[in-house]
Amino acid sequence: MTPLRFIIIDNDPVNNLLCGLAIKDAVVDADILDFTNPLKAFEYISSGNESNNHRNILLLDINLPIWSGWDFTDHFEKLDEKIKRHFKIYMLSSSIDNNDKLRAVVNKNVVDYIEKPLTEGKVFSLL
Amino acid sequence: MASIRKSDELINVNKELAFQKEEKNKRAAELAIANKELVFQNAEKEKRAQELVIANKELVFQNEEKEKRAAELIIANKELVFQNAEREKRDEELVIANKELVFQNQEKENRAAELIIANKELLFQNEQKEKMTTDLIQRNKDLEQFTYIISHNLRAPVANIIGLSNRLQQTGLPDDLRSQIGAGLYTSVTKLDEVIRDLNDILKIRQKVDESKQLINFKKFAADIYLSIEKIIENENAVILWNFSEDEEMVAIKSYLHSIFFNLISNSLKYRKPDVQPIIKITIRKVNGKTVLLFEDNGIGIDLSTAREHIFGLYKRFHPDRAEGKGMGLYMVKTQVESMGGKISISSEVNVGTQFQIEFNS
Repeated sequence: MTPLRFIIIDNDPVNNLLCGLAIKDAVVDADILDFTNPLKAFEYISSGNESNNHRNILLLDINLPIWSGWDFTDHFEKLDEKIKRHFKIYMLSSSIDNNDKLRAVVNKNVVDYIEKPLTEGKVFSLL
Repeated sequence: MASIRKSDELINVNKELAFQKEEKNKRAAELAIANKELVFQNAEKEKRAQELVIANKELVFQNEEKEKRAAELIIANKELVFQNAEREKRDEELVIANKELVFQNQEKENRAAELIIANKELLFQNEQKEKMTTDLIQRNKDLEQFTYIISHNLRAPVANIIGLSNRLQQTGLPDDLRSQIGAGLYTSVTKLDEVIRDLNDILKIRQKVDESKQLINFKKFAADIYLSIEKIIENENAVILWNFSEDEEMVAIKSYLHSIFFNLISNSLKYRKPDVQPIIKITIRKVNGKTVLLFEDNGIGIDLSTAREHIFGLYKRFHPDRAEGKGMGLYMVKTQVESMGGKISISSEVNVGTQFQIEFNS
């Protein structure tokens, strides 16, 4: 079975620390990668090679510098299907605005919306 | 002797008779002549009478003609009198109609004047509505931005605090993790406090539009600005080139103008090229009664093809590798410029520099 990898894209290091802890609560030996710059994350994903060996769960923040989370999904959309099928994108946001949740649900590249903070229980629901 | 006497007598009588006869003949001749004269005169008179009859007939005829003509004239006259009456009636009607037209004309002029006033009123109301619409659109945008700020910038540290404090309740946490969580809590609370303070500042600007404006002399103002940034200028080894005439001045809220200059200069220094001396050129000039401020730098610039929409947005950041910025400066500048009735625009080229232009109506 292909190994599982969590990729966190958020410019807030405190959130990334919390996410790491919550994921490890659920999957003790989880493979976790975090990016604070969305462009760097996209560069990593679009290169394909390494991440293609994994099932990737992408936890994407909305409020990011340069590209918003939505911009990120727009760029992801243009990637090759061979790359895309290795990723499941979840919007992970502090937003309590229903419009953001709705927008996530109707975005075909987004699986679901998760409200911060990430907890062990929420990680289980992704597996 | 008697006979002789008698004869004499007879002779005498005879003679008398002969004489009388002669006298009678003479008288007859005279009478004949007179008669002839009378006949002639009679004939003349008859001729004359005949002529008179003819003349009379002629006169009668002429008279008849004249009467006929008179009758015709009477008819014609009656006709003219009738026509005249008709015309007078018609004239009277025209006078009335004319009066009516004059009245209607005046009414129409009155109505036109009323319409002009109504039109002006509508134009004014339209302008007011447009102004209100623009204002409402702006307010709507502000509200949308505040919704965004609440959901993201305000809620994000709160979500962190929830997660971190929850974790603190776990027993047997390793010491290094415990201190990491403590540091995270401090960062999040500080961030929360910062956002609340920012929101307060922003709301203050939006409310404080009425703060007294004053006449600002740019010569003195530039000296004030320089004093407040002298340290940073020295640290960055930067150059500020001021370009304005000595007596240049404008009416503005001084604290806002100060903040605008401070933020734009700080921005240029924050996004300077690391290996090039920062040069900031500030030009102030009057164009058609408007005050135009130009800030030009030789910094790293920004790709506006993707950033233009958000460049003045709150908490929008475009250079995440540079830690200083928190996405507040340009938002504050725009808010302050707009609260003083001005406009701001940007042009930029990557690796060449950035230019901000501000236009005030006074």
